[in-house]
Amino acid sequence: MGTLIAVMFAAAIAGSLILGTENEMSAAFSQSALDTAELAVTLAASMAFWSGMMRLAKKCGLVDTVCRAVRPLLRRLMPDISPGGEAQGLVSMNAAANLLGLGNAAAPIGIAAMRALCREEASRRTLAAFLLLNTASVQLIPMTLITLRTKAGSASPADIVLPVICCSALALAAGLISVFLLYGGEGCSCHCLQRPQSVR
Amino acid sequence: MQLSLLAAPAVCALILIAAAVKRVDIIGEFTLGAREGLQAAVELMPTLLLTVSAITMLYRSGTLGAFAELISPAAAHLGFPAEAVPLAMIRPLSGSGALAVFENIISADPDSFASRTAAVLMGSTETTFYTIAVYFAAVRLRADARVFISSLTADFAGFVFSALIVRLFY
Repeated sequence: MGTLIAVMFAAAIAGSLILGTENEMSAAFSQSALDTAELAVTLAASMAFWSGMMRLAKKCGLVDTVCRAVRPLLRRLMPDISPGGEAQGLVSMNAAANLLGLGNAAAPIGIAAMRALCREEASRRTLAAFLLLNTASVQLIPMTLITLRTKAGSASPADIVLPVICCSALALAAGLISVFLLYGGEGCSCHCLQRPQSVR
Repeated sequence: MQLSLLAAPAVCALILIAAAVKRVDIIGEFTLGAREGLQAAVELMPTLLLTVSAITMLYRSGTLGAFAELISPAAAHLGFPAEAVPLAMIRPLSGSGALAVFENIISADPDSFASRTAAVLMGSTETTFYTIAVYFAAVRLRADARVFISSLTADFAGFVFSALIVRLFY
């Protein structure tokens, strides 16, 4: 990730010199700190809010219900998470939030799930599979898209639902195949949190 | 359709009502959970700062757009609409950027091949780089190359299948 960020910065500078967008670049640079601050506050607030909600959901048994519903799916994708544990509950809630298209809830719950997975020393493969569930964005009703298409005057804004589901499923399948190929039967734990990694 | 806009508040209401029925200490438990969430947020903030500024630079300098223009003839030749190429480029990097590009594409004709492909692409992919950065920063773990490869495989499959599926469906 560190190397990638350096490459992105270098490419941006080179690109702006070639394209003659130095003015936009300098404006964007001073603006980006402000934008990030805004993003940080929003993210922190939504993480706090949904972590609080998840704790309530766990206390009243809702998490266990969702867990049972998605267990058959998750057991195959992530065989090494312990049943009934904190990680399993959060991973299930994250999957449910993704399916319902609740992006604002899915991200903070997903972050909490990553932390729980690492506390339970999940394997690297499990982390990659979990990440994929979030980046492939399988959702039942892409609400934002339908709203935007309606606004643009589409004749039938909701007719993309089925193609979107098919495409997400295929993309997820392709990603999962690559996870299985790349990680094989790897079972070693990641030992994160106990051993902070330095940024290269 | 308006009903699904209420999904998130409805989920909250459901949780709160269930908690009230089960006589859970709502304020106390919520506060404990929220505090944990805030701590996690503070821990991932430094990485977020760096990643977001790098992405903003790449996008605002026009580098990404120029690159998209460069490869769009080749993509069009392979059956992927040239108009949707910039979206495919920005999508893994920036959610708000992708939304702006998407609105621009569909503003002309929301039911054209390019617009439909763009919509399917939007719906079946995510801001992959941002998600990887945030999720891995939260556990202070370095994302290894395999994480990027597998996620980008899924994204790339999303690009390819979006055009194919739209052709198939309409």
